[in-house]
Amino acid sequence: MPGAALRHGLAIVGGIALGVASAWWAIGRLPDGERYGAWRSDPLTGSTAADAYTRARSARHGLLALNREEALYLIAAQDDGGAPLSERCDYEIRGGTLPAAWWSLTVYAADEFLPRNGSAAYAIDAAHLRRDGDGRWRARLATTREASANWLDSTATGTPSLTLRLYRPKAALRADALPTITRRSCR
Amino acid sequence: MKPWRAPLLVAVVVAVLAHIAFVHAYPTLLMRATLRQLGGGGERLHRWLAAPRVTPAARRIVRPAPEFAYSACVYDLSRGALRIRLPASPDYWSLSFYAGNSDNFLTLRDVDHRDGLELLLAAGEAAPAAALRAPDTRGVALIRRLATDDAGWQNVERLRKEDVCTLAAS
Repeated sequence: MPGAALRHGLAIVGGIALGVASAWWAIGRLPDGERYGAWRSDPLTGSTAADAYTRARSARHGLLALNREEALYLIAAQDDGGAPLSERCDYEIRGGTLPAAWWSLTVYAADEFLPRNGSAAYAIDAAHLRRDGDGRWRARLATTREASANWLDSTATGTPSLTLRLYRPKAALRADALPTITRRSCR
Repeated sequence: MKPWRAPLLVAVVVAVLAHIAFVHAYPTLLMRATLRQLGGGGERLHRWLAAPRVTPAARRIVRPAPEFAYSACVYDLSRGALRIRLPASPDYWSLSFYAGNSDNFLTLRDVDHRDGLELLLAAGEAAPAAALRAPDTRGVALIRRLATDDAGWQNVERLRKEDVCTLAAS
């Protein structure tokens, strides 16, 4: 049986290790954020008014992020039917005028980096989008472009996900104001 | 078991305190490391550092935004006020300031500065009256400029040559 001093020493070292490990786990967990159809908001968008856990999570997952007045980030890892997005499937994304001064839609691979597929078709944005006559737009998320005017190449993504960035958002978010993601076919 | 009762109580109290301390200190510790890395350990302070274009080869930051051209200026206001000047640009841009604890304490936007901007940033009671106040002496200024294609990047490269971030003459 170790002496009292050693027992207390072990307790202090073990307590520090446990405290730091549990803190690292706590700030590594991402809260779900609010859901808008297939999209969920990124709850970590910077704010100085955030509580200590949110601020620590923001630092770990999004250091130097823009604040909420400047940008809103939404992430979709599933289609409108609730199924996870897959490289083996083709999707149609449809949208209209989004409530922001400017926006972009980017596809990421399963590792959360831009896909390494050589096509450079990883983003579309409000300025360069080809729209239909009524101002609405369609984009294709698939490994082939086909005849689509707006294409996000899902080659080498595995399980792709999308980030919609709304810069200088103009209104409160509503699910019906955000793009829909419809699965067309799978191989 | 009795000899372990008090040490176990100590372990629980220490764990709770360590947990709280780490959560509160983490943003500052991470920001300090980031500023040290960006600022080259003090070698690259008070100047704009232009980041290259984001491509699929970029693997340091997850979910990078490929539409932005970033420039960062790491500062230490204990050496004096910081002078920043950006040229006019009709496209979307923002200039954000982050304190040493990672707080975004100020963001200036193109819509409010159509003719470009010039400002002084300072900390402490000796700051010039015309200066914007930073909550901390250490921090970083970050420019985000929209650049979604080659023409956009050529424009950004022109603007970058006119950007100024330097210690103000005392």
